[in-house]
Amino acid sequence: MLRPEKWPSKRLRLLAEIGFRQRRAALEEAVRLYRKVTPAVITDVLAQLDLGRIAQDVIDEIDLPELIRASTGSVASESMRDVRMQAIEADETVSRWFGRARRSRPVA
Amino acid sequence: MTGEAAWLSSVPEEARAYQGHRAGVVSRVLAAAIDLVVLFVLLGGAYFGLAGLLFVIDPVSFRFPAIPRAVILIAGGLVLVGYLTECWTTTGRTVGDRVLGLRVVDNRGRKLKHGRAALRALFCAVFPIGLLWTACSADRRSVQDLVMRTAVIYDWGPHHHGDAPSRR
Repeated sequence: MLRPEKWPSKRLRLLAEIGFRQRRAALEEAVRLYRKVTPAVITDVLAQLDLGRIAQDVIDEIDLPELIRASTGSVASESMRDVRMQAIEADETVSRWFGRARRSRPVA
Repeated sequence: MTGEAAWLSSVPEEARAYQGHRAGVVSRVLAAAIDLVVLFVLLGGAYFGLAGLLFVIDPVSFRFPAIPRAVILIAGGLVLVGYLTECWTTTGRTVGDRVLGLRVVDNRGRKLKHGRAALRALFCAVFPIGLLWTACSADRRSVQDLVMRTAVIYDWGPHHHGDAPSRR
């Protein structure tokens, strides 16, 4: 603590108070301007963005079908998917065999 | 595949080309084998339920009941017909169909009505070997499909869109 005889002069304290008030007024003005300008800027930016395209890109990137499969649980797990695909391939193979047999049968 | 955007489909890309097409004999036999296991589980559950009831009624002289073969056959047939009918009329798929990603529909791709489903189930229970005709048929139809005018299609999605079945 400074002793009273070492305090700054009255004029200096007055200048400090003026500076403090001006800084506070400038801050309030800046906040007011920010609140006024920001919505207009954001609206303009959003208007210029192709949100549909961005959403499509994001969906493509995150593999939505896989997320749906994982979240719903209504479709096959990985192993069930393999079983189904192998069964389909076996179906195709059997159909090809019998198809060839039918075609090679002599026509009466 | 129809009814939903391809990018939003819950069906894996490699399987999309087959959706709505008639299923082949291998898938159908595997599904039938799983349904047979389900039938045995249901019958076993009923048997042990009956045994438990007898035990509760008279624990002192309890013995596992001996069921005549004819009763087992009749009960098995009734449970099978009931199980198949209920599955085909509600979701269009049995447990085996669900595992293999199959669905039973009529010739126009619609879910079966009770009458047709019950008759088809009875036909399947009495003449199961008719399923093997699927391999010989160019349209992948079993004897039951030919008589009842039904089809078994690949349908991996949770909901059926009702499109008419196609050969491939």
